[in-house]
Amino acid sequence: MSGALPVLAAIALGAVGTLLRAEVTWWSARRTGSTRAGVWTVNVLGAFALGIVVGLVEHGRIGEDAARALGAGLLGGATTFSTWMVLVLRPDAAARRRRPVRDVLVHGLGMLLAGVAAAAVGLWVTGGSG
Amino acid sequence: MGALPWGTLLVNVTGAGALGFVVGRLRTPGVASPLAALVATGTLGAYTTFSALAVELVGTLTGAPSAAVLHGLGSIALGLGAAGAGLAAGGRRRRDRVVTP
Repeated sequence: MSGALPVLAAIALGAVGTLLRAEVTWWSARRTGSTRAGVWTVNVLGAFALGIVVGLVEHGRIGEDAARALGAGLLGGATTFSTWMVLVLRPDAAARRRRPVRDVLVHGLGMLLAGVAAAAVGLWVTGGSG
Repeated sequence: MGALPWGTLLVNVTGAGALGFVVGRLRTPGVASPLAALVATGTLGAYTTFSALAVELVGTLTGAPSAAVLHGLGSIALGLGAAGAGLAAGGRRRRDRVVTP
């Protein structure tokens, strides 16, 4: 597959991923008053899923174009670094007290470790190496 | 995975700074437009990525563990620094702007 189609597929799936992330974080905000749980959910699940995609493409089970559309598009859109960083520094209304050290350790470092573990599981399931 | 993934780092740190700025502005009275929410969630959220960072770290961990730790901690440190600077810069304009559409 070549030409514009793979690019369009990546863009379309990127939009789908972004909308999914918006739904999950808004749902989390409605339920808990904070988007925190939503950001945890999309990021950790997205890292797991990207581990699977990378493992599949390494073994030639899916093509490069499909991997780009799913990995960079869908999962790139579904996961976020910027919201995560801002949320660590400035927890939204529900987290009434700001506890900077705890926030950085639990929600900063903690989410990264959880994401790395999730990606490792995704890679392990599909026999990939990242 | 070879060389360090500078692209992901660049995208993530600049995106965190830009989102910090937008959020800083959002807290300003009168600046809470749907456009800002669109920019924040849509563009900057999608521009940056967590999944690629996580998978890249797994890839580097096996070959060069110290580089992976440095990359992980460095991403968080630079991301928080950029987001903090953005928040400060966005919030500083509080008094300059009273009403914006």
